[in-house]
Amino acid sequence: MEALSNKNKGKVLLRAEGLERKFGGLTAVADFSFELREGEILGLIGPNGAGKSTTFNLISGFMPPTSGSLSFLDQNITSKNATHISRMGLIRTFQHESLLSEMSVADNIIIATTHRLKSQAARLEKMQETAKLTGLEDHLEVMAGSLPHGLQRMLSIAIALAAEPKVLCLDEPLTGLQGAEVGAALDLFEMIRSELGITILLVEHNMRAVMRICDRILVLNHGRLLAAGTPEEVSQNQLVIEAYLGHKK
Amino acid sequence: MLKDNLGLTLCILIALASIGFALFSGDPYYVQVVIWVFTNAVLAVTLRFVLLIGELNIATAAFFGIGAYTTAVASTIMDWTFFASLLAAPVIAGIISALFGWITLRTKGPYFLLISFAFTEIVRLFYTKTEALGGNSGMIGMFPPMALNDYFPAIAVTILAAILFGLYAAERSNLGRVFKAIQNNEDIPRSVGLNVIGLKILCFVIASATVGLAGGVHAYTNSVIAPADFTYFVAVLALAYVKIGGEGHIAGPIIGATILTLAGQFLHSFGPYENIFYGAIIIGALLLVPGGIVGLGARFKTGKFMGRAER
Amino acid sequence: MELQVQLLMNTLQIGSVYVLFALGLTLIFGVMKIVNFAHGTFFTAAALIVSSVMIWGVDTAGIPIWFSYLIAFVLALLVVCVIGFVVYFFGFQHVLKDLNGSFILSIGLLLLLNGTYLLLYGGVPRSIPAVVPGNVTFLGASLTIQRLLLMIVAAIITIGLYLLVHRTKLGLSLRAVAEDQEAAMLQGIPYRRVALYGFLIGATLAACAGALMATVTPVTTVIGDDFLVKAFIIIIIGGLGSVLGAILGGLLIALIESFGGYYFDPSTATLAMFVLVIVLLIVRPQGILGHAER
Repeated sequence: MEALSNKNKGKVLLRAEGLERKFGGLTAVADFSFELREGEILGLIGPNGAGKSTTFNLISGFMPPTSGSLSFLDQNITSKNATHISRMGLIRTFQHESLLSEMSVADNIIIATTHRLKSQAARLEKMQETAKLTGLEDHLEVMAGSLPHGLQRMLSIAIALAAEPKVLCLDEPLTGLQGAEVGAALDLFEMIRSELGITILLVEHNMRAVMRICDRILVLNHGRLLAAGTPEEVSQNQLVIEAYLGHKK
Repeated sequence: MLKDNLGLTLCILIALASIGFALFSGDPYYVQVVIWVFTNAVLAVTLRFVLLIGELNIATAAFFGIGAYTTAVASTIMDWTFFASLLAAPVIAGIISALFGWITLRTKGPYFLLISFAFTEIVRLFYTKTEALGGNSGMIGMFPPMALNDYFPAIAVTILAAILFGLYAAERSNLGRVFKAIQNNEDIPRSVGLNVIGLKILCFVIASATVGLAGGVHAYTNSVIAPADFTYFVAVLALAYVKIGGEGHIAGPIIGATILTLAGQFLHSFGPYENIFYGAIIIGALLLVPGGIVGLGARFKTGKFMGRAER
Repeated sequence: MELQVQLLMNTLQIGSVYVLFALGLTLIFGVMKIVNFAHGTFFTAAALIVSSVMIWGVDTAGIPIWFSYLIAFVLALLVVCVIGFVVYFFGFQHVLKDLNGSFILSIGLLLLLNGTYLLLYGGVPRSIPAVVPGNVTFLGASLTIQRLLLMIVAAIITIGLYLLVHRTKLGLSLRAVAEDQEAAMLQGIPYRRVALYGFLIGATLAACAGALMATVTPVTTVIGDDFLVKAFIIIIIGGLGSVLGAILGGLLIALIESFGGYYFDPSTATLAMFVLVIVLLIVRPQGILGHAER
C-alpha cells in the first residue's frame, strides 16, 4: 500500500501525448497519451497486435512516431534517436532477440556498462554485481545463446540493469518462464523498484503477474487506450473484459 | 588464456625473426616475398576487421590504393620526406573513409557490399583518367632515402607487423567487443546507449587508415604503382586468405595470407590455371571447411582454445 | 535532333541488355538474398557458345546464318541452365540467405569459370557474321536492323518476365518468397524449389543478354564482367529485388552512359553514375523503388 501512496507523489518521468504511428495505411498506435511516474510499476497490456511493441519502439526511439509528442525528464524526446534516449536513462529490453547470442554472458553485460563506465575495472565490478543480482554469476563464461530459456530472460534484464536505467521498459519478460521462475522474476522486479529506485514500464501477457505487481495498468486495444487504472479497476472494466473475451475465440 | 599468450609470444618471435631476416638476408627476392606476405596479411586482417561489425568491405582494396597513391604523390610530386609521405597515407585514407563511411554505413549487408565494390572500381577509374597521377601507367620513382635504403625492408616489415599487433590489440580491447556486439545484434548496443553508427564508422576508419598505411609501404616497396594493382580483385584475394585461414581468430587471415602468398609464387606462370586454382580453393574452403584452418584447429582442441572467438 | 535520336537509340540498345542482365541479378537477390558476382559468367557462357556454334555452323557445316543463330541461341540457354543447375545444386543451395558466404562462393565461381572459359576458348576476341544485314533510318538516325531486332527481342523478354512475375502462379510464389520467406513457407510454398526456379530464370536472363550481345560486339571470355559494375549500380538505384526498379535503373544508366559518354567522355559518365548512387543513398538508402531494409 506504500506503493499506492507513492504513486500520487511521484513526479512524471515520461509523458506521451497523442502518440500515433502508422505503417502505410495501417494504424498501429493512435491518440495514445499516458504518464509514467517516478517509483511506480506501470503495466501495459492488451491483446496481440494491440500496439504494445510499437509503443515500446516509439518511446525508446527505435521508431519515430507519425505524430504526437514524447517527453522524458522534462525534455522533449519526440525526434531523438535510440542512442540519445537510452543515454538519458530510459532503457528497454526486447521481446525477441533480446541478447547477444554469440557472446558470453559476461560480455553481454559488459557491453551494457560500456557507455557509462570508462574504466575496465569499474565495468567488471558492475558486471559481477549485476550478474549476482540476476542469478547469473555461475554462468558468466557461457555463450548467451546456449543458456536455458529462463536464464536468457534474466540476462536480457541484466543487460538493461547494467546500463543503469532511471526507467526500465520490460517487453514481455515473463514469456516462457516456468512457475517458480515467474515468482522469482516478479520478486526481482519488486526489488529493482524498491531497492534500486528504478521506475518500471512493463508489457506482459501473464495477467495474474501483471495484476499482482503493477500499481497502475494501461489497456491498449487496436492501438487505442481502452482503459486505465489500478489492477482492481481494470479487471472489473466491462470494455476490458469484452476485448479479452472477444480475442479468446 | 595461457595458450593464447603462448601464441602471442610465438607471433612476436616470428615477427622479430622476419625483421631480422629482412635486415640480414642478402637475397632481395626472398626479402620481397616476406614483405608481400606481411602486406597480404594486413589486407586480410583489415578486411576481417570490418567483418567484426558484419560488413564485407570490398573497399579495402580502394583504401590500399589510396594509401599507395597518397604516398607516391607526397614523395615524387611534393617531395615530402620519407616518413612524412608514409604518414600521409593513413591520414588521407582515414579522412576519405570517414566521409565514405558516414554516407554508406547507414546501409548494410548487400547495399554496403555493392557500394564498396562500386567505389573501388570508380576510384581505379579516377586514377586512369587523371594525368597528374600518371593515368593508366601509374606512378614511378618512390624510393626510400639513400641513408635508409639498406634498412627499408626491415622498416617495412616492422610497420606491417606493428599494424597486425595493433589490430589484434584493438580487437581484444573493449572496442573489439563492442564491434562484435554490433555484428551479433546491433539493437542491443543501441539500447544501452552506444552510438552504433559512429562505432561502425570508427571501425571502418581504423581498418581503412591501417590498410592505407600498408598501401604507403607498398608504394615504396614496389617503387612503381598502377591503377591495375588496386582492382576489387585485391579484396577478393584478401577474402580468400580470410576464408582459408578462418575468420574466427585474427591468426586465421595471417595464416591464410602466408600459405596462399607462398603458393602464389609457384602459380604465377600457370596462366588461366592460377584463377582456377584460387577459385577452386575458395569454393572448397567455403563448402568443406567453413571455419578455415583456425576453425579446424579449434575443433581439434575440443573447441576450448578458440571457443570464445568462434562464431 | 538527329544526334539526339541517335543517342536515344543507343540508350535503348545498351539499356535493353543492361535491363536483362540486372533483372536476373535482382531476381536472384530477391528470392535467395544473395549477391551473385558470378552472374556475368552466365552472360559470358552464352556469348561464347553463340560465337563458337555460329562460326562452326556457318563456316564448317554450311547451315544458313539465321538458322545457326537460332540453334546457337537455344543451345546457349540450355547449357547455361545446366551450369546454373550444377552451380545451384552443389553451391548456392548451401548458402541461401547467407550474404557473405554466397558472395565468397560466387567470387570462387567467377574465378573458376572465367579461368575455364579462357582455357577452352582462348584469349582472342571473335566476331560473328551479321545474322540480319542491313540498316534502317529512323527520324534521321541510322541503325542496323540487327540492333533493332536486339532491342525488340530484349523488350519482349522483359515484358515476358514482367508478366511471369506478376501474372502467373510461379511469379506469385517468387514474389511471396522475396517478400517474406518464412510467411511464404507457412503458406505451403516450397522455398527451395522456388529459389531454384528463381535462380535458373535469372541465369537464363543473363544468357539471353549474352546471346543477343554476341551479335553486335566481339566476344571475349571476360565480356560479362564489364556489365557487372554497372548492373550493380543499376540494382542499387532501382532497389535490390525490384523488377520495375531494374528496368528503370537500367534505362537510366544507359541514358547517362550514352549522352554523358558523347557530351563528356565515358569515364565522366561512369563517375556521374557513382555520384548519383551516393546522392541517392543520402536521400533514400533503400533505392528508388526498394522496400526499406528490415
